Amino acid sequence: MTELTVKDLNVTLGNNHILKGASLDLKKGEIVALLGPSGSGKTTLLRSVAGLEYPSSGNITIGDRVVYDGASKIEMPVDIRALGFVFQSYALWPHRTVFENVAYGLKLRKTPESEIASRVNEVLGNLGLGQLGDRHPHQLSGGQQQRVALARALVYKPQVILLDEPLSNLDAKLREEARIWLRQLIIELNIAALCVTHDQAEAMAMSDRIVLLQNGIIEQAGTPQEMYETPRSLFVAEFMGTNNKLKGTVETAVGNMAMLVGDGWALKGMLCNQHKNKEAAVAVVRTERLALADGPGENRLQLPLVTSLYLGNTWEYVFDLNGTQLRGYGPLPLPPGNHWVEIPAAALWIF
Amino acid sequence: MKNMSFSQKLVIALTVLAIFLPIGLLLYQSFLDAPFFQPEKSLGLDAYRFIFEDPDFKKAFLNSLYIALGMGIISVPLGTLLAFLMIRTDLPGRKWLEPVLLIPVFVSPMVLCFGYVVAVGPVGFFSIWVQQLIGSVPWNIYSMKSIVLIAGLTHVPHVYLYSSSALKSLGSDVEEAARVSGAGPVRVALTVSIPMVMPAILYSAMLVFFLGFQVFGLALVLGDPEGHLVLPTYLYKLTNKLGTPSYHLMAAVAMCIVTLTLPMVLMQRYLLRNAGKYITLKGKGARQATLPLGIWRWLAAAAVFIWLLITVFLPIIGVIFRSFVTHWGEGVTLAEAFTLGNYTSVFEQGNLIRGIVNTVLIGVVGGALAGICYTLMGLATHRKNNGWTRAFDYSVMIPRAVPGLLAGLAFLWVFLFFPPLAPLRQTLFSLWLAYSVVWLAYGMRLISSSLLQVGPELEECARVTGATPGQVDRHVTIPLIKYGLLASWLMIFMIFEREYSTGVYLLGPGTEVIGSLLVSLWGAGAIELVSSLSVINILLVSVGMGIALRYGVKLHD
Repeated sequence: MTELTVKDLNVTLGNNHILKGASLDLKKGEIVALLGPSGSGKTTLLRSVAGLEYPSSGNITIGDRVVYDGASKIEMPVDIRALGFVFQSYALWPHRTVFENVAYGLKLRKTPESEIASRVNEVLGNLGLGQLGDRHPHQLSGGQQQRVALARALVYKPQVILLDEPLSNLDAKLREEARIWLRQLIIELNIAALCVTHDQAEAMAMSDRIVLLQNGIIEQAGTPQEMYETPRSLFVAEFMGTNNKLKGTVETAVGNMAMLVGDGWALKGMLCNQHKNKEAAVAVVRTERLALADGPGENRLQLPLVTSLYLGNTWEYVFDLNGTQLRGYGPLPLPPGNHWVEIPAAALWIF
Repeated sequence: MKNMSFSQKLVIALTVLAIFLPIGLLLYQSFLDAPFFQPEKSLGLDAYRFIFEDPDFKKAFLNSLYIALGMGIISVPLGTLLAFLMIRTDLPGRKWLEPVLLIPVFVSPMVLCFGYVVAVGPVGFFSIWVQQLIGSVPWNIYSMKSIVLIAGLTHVPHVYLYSSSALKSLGSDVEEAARVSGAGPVRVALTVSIPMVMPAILYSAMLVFFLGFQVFGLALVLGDPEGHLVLPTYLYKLTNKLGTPSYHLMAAVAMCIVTLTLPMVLMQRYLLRNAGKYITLKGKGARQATLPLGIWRWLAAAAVFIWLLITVFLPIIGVIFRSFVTHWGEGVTLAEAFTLGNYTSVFEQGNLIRGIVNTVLIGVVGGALAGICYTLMGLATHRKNNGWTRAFDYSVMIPRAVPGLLAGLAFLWVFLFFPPLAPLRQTLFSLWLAYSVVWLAYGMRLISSSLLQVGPELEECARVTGATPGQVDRHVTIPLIKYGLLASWLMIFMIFEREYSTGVYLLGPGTEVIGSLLVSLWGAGAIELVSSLSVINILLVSVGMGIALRYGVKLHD
């Protein structure tokens, strides 16, 4: 069942066209990540759904309620959209205790006192905050504050919960734990979640689908696998994962395969765009697809090692290809000098 | 005008009315050739023609210009230097100096000038002491030079307020970055520190310059004996000059003053907007390294002490001293002249007792009401950026361009002009309204600096959770700025206690306050009553300052 539909949404601020016709939908029990670099319009899209920004045209429907429609000038105020929202800074009210923070939404809904107490305590208990009801936000750790913010957004059982970079204020270790339990929680509660993030790893780990924005336009939307393995544009390919980038010209294109020819090298790859012969093109290779090879062969190059870095669980190698750096991983340190590396043709995406 | 409720628009409309009605009336009256209440009147430029042909007006204008420029030249460098010494160096006694420095801001200039007269005037106690010591008094307190010097020295704190907050927000890291890049301390000061506080210095220079045109009490007390008129005192004297109510002339003078000061006020606001870019530039955290002054430390302390002696201690001790003696002159001893009679006679006169009670009322109750009004205005325009709020932002600055004396006059006319309002003229309401409008820009600054400290997401979060805009204000915004509002109340209390010129034309039975009583008693030559009322006024302000210090309320940002 579709809980949230956004159709062709446009947002302008002054002369600045921030969101240029974004559409998406969100089903019950599903987590969709809004991914993109800063300034791509992902937060604006989220805030428009909440009613905190004012779109210029388009349509937003939550469940069966039209909350915004540019054509018929429907604009439902924020407070009656009945959404949950977790702010990046958590926005816990410092003058209220944890209990009062969480209870506020129920108070506004005129819930009886006894029910408020039981529901707040239940949600605090579920999030492992059972003992902290009497504390003030400043007495909590970052991770606890984040869970209070979540409890406050969930306690009145919204159909849709909106999360604005919910994990960005946690330190790296805590963030990885938090994204696991956050995903589990949302699936358990069977609600729809829209989550803004600028971290592609977090987006892939947490969500069922990813919507990647760039300059106010949706570049590509799909499951994490689709986004990572079959990017439709150079931008998407580069944004997902860590990559090597090669510049050259396309030659002898046959079907969807072609040769990319650079200064003293030629590699076979997949054509992801239409290219004429001799046309300049850029190829993207995921760093993990660059492999060491034992000798010459197809799609192999002999390259000097610039340096190798010890990362703990792996070694990162940096090779030099006529001024372009190529990076790859391996289990062992490499001695200085020239080494053979292989880039499989299926992993070289020519845009 | 979406997302603005009816009540918000009402608040804005009422404020705009309270600002523009009196000024509009001044403007209208200035183009009439007779007072507006007379049946025979016609539109024309007669009033302007008259004052422009009056040699006294020209003299008053030149004197005002002289005072404004002189004040700027004296107070801007001294105020900036003082701020630097207080904020960035190891000047001894900085903790207790801070509130003392600000006394001239909170004590009425009438009181300070009266203090100068009784301390260093021709027969002042300090003058007599010097006379006995060296045989003559080497200064003349009533000369134009003395007036400019005193105006300049008493406005040093105004500059200090702005320069010091700019210096405070300037983290040492930007200076350290320059030092590491290879700049010497002098070069750092010239190329980093001073350029970064320049907007604040320019801002305060502009402030002092237009305050110069508004100087009234000082010129009334010190300028009168030798006939040095400035524009506000010229206006004040116009009533006596022709013997008949010369409202049209007064209005013309008022419009001249407003024409001079309004561009400066708006320019100041423009500077403030430009200063915004420097705020983003400020270093992370305002951690500050203090500069050791070495042997200069005590020299600097002595300089600050001498300034304090001249601007604070001398006049205030003078007033207190004078309030406890019957008379003073050469050969008079304290034992024979000592009296409490000055105080007992204050409490024998009904209008003076009412004056004291009213002063307390206007400060405590009026201050609270004004604070509530300013808060409503602040909330009405809070986080809204549209035509209404932009116009409102500039409108609240306009009363700054109107000296209290003129504002009081304008409000008197408003109450005379609209008969339904007439009964209110004899009540404290008229005075409260005039005070609240005169100090509108100041009050709004206090409130909005509190409001700006509330993170927008705290309010947005309440909206998403289901609160209406009104509930957000009541449940989130106001509770969060509660202490800021109490502190603002205290600041407004002190400013209202100090105010003297706004009440001058509104003075009548029922609307007496110490400030306006001082002006009128001074005119009548009742020097004993003036001195004891001044001391009572100083005490009231001290109560405010005491509470502020006790509860750690910052006297400025």
